[in-house]
Amino acid sequence: MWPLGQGGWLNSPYGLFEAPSFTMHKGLETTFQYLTRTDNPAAVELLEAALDCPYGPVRELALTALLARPNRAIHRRLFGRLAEFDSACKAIFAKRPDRLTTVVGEIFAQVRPKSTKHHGRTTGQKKQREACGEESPANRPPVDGKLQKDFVRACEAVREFRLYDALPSLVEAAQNAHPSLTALAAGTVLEIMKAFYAELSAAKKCSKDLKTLRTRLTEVLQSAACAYKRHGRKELLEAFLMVAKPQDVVLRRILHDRKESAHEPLVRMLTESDEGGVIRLLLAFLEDPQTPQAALEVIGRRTDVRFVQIWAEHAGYPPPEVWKETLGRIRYLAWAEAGHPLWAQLDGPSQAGCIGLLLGCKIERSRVFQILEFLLQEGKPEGRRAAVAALEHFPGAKADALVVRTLDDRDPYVQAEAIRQVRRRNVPDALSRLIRLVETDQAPVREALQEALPEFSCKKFLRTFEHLPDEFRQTAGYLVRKIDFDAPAILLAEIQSLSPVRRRRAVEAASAMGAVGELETAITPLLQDEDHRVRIAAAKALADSRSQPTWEALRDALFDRSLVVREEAEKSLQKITASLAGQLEMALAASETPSQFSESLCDESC
Amino acid sequence: MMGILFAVAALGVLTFALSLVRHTRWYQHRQLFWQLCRQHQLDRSSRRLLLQLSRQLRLPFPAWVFVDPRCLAAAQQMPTIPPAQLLQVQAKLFGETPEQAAPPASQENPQNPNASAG
Repeated sequence: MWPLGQGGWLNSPYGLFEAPSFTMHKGLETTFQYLTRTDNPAAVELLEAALDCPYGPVRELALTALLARPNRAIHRRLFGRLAEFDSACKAIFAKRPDRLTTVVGEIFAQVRPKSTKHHGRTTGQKKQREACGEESPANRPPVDGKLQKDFVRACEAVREFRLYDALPSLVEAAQNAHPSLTALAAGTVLEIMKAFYAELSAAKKCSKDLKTLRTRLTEVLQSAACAYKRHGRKELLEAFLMVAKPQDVVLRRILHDRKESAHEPLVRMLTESDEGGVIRLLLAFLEDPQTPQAALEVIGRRTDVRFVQIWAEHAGYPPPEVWKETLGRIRYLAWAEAGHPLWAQLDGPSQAGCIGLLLGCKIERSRVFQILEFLLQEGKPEGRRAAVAALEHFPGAKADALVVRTLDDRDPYVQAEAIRQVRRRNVPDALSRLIRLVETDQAPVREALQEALPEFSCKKFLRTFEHLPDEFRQTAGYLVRKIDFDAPAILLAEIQSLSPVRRRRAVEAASAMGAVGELETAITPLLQDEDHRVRIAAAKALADSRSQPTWEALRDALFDRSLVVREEAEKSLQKITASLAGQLEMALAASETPSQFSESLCDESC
Repeated sequence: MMGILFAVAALGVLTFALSLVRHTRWYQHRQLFWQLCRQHQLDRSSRRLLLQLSRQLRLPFPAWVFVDPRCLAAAQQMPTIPPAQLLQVQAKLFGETPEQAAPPASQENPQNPNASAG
């Protein structure tokens, strides 16, 4: 086992050392600290030899020491051996990206034509040479094999270690290097920008460093986008789009100016790229009311599921207020068609989001209505719910008919939305259509009915109870009980109120609503109420009671001091007896043998 | 007069020769060895031991003994090296006994650290 000691190399006089992940003995620390700071060239030789030591910690310390030395030649030699290093050593490299950046930057600079050759050349001379074809990269002498290999390895290093700082020289190489290398350079630029975008989107809060880096990278890619005519590399345009902001001056200029050489490829890239960065940019355009029309046209043309899904998810239903103005400028959406294949590929929430977008955009209303009709038939649950909600914005007989049709929908949420709209639309027989739905057990439908039929609330029923004719009380009471969920609680509160008038009214209302069974335990004590009218109402109402204690209470009421109470109690008991006799006969008729009858009685009592 | 001139010329030649020597690889490696000895505050006998070890193992760089613990492990087999002193030096440079310090699976020859570099 390797000797483990205390501490790390934190006390390096250069301040360049970071503590290695393992602890090392002080003696070895002292050795490598000294080897790091000494001017003796033999130390470099020793450290480079230590890179081949079979012992990992020694290799790692040697590499750390070599990287700490500000000597480009050493870094270049280390770069040459990059493939030999294991993951631990590569992690040490990753901590010092600046060292590799310098080396790869030099390599990228080597593959570019020497700019000094052009110094002092007049524009006329330059044009003449261009006319002769001497300036074109294709006519340059080929890059020698070693440099080409180094270039490939440098690109690999840029990708592996995410050397963002090497991007300026890499972009330069992608524009000016020999044609055999530009494709690789441009591809590397695109890949590293994808990695950068992933880093940006993964960061919960964009740090100041990331923001600064983004600004720098954008500036580099801006100039590459401006020089598109010269290099023609689409990868550079895509990389630019991945980090550019919608307010970017160069981006806006290219989008505004249709004659610009980069305009067409940039628009095509915006239309075809499914990179997260490009989609982000397109969606960010929606927040700006001054967005170039070309960008909005691109948004309207895109029919790929990924883009539409992300857009719809961001939009939701209804879309954000900040998009309102820009959405109003979109007159065409390629997928805005009933039966478009895209609808089948979208999930429910996306369909709902798309409906919000359709409503926000300036698209022919009849067309949107057709889509809503289509979605109500073919859509996914969330899409259908959003579609019926969107019908709210469509007056007219056709929409009315569609809403009435949806009252019988299989989805209770769709049904509920239709219920909310049907009375507002002044549909004939709206009330009777809604009353037909009161028997439902579906909570959303009942909630919607409560909203749509406010006149059937328990409070309102109690207020008007005295004025209602007897024959209407039962019907209204039944509807109130079905529609108003809070009715039992309200009645209970009334039964327990201090006012005898309210207590009596509540008992009578409960009886009319058929809610005596539910409130039996609260009504039974009212047989002892001080107010005889309350006792009468309770005795009358308890005719619908089902429990033995209540019957006993009714029996006790036969000795009440009030004659009317006694009479009502007697009537109620007779009614209960008759009802029980009827039940007995039915049960006997239903069961073939006495034993079955007793079993059924047992079941009932259970 | 001639004598003085001759002495000055000899001094100049000597200084020049010394400056040439200082730039040689051999001198720099020896220098590094002594510098590391100073860093570790090794006494004269320990320095001598390490130098002897580097000669006997025919290490390309004398300072290699400071970097590779296998050198001290190999020294255990040498009859000319006093074991007590070896242990003392080893504890100072690597903290543990040479057997413990040496990599268990390594079969490479510590005499040629560049061997695996290819």
